[in-house]
Amino acid sequence: MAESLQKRLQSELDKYKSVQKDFQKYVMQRQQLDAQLTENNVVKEELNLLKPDATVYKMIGPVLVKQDLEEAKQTVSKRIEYITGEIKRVDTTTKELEKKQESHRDTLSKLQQQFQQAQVKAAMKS
Amino acid sequence: MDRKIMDIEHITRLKQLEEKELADCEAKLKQWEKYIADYRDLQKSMEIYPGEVSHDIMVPFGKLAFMPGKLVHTNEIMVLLGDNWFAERSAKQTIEIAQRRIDHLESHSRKLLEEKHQLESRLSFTEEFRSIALQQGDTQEIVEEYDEEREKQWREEHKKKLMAYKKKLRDEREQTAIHETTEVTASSDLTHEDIMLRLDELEMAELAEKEMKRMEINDGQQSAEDIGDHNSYTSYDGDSDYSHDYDKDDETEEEEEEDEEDEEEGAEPHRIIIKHTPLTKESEHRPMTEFSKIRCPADIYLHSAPAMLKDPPTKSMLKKSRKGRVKDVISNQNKEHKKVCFNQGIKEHEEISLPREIADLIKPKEVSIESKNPGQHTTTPQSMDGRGPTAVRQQVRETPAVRSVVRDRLDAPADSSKLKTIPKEADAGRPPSKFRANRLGLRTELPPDRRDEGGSGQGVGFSPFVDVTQTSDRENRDVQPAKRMSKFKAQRLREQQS
Repeated sequence: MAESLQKRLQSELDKYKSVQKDFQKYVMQRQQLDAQLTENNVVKEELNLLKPDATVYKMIGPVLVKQDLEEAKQTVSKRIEYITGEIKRVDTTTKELEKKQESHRDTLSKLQQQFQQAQVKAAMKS
Repeated sequence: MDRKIMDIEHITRLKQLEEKELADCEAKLKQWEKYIADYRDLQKSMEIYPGEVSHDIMVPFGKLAFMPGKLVHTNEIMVLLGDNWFAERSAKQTIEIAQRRIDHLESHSRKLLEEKHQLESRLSFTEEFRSIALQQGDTQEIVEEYDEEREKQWREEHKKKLMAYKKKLRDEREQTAIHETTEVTASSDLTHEDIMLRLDELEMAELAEKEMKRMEINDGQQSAEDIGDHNSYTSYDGDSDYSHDYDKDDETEEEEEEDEEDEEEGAEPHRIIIKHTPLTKESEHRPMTEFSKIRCPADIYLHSAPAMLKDPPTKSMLKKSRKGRVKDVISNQNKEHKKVCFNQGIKEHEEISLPREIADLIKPKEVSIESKNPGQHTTTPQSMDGRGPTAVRQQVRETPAVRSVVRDRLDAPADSSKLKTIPKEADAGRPPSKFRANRLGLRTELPPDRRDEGGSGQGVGFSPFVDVTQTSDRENRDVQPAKRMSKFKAQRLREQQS
């Protein structure tokens, strides 16, 4: 009885850990996306402040490639939209993962309790 | 004692965690400050670069070597805007960019500072808890044990005790009641009377409430009985504010009862008993309620529509040769009927704004009519051209004011063609109407279409009053038409002669 309980406890624990890892991954991704979003917003502001004849370069690998100001602005806007979409997606997945985590945690705690009770009984017997 | 030790452990652990967080926060803050300092340095160097056309410097070559060289293009600076985007800017512009970034960073660091303050306060709280746990300070911890099962037990016991107590109270009350009834026999009549009075009041209140509900449900349908009962209710209540009453359905009953009680209790030594005899069937209120329903001129038509349909189409009295004479419009059959009704309505409900509105409305209309040559019967106001009865009815619906004023005019015995004055003879027997005064200034000429419409058209504005009950005025009016008929003839004759 106690052994089966123990096994169950172990498996639950493993599941919980994996879920937690995924969760962490997504959380990090969200943070990264957030940072990118703010960065792009700053770039957008700066581009708006530029005069139309200013030179703008884009770094592609080790090369700086000259870009048109208008083109640059559009590219940045599109990137911003893309990032926001990604953020939304990641948000939903993080929520799901969080729920999963919760459920796992509950089962884990229950199992732990049972395990403890079993231990106590065993201790009493012996 | 065990618990206390545990508390201390918890508290110490909590304190450790909080301190750690505070340390993290401070580290972040330091980092941000470093960034800001870097940017400030950048700004300073930007001021230096354009100072010379070319700077002599030692240029780094790889990791380990330097070479003497010159720094040219001192004003052209490639700035990283972010996300692999670069822009070529001058030194001054770079300074501006740097400033913007500094601002950004400073706001961020301010938030961090706030966070730090919060953490510090939290830490101080935990310190307090620690001192409490150790009983070092003045405060003492109060611990209440909560055991669910015990609570349940207590609740059940409480219920039992409560029931027992209530039963005891009831028994006691009964005992006292029995005593009272056995004792008091002399004043039994009085109490009985009081009870009966009370019953009466409650009955009335209930009845009134029923009426209220019925009134709400059957909004359009009016029955005399309803009104009759409603009368008693309203007079009972003191305020005849119908719309107000309709809204508060449940409250009114309570209020009534409260009113009763108040009225009763107000005169402690003298009992004020309020009883109401039901009014006569034809309640004066009926037109009142009708009027209260009428919020705009169109409502007159809407509410009178069923009654209007009852009117039989009447033959027009008009003679083609006649010039626009108001008196010709009336048809023999319906004249007195409608006249009575309208006058009745106007007479009795002077407080209603509607006639006023009618008077106001009519003025512009009249002007337009007057503009036309009154002598030509064929000329019609353009609005009336080529329209049938339905159209006129429409017109009437939209401008009942005209109708009602016309009614007034018709009421007066026929005047001269201009209808400027109302002959005095007709007025002699009739009680004065304040609308007469209004009318004196007004003139109307009905378009031929309306004239042709005869009674049925005119009935539109006045059928609400068709069922108005009789009063003394009515009898006068009954007399009038006959007189007026002759008057018309007389006038006509007079004109023909002149």
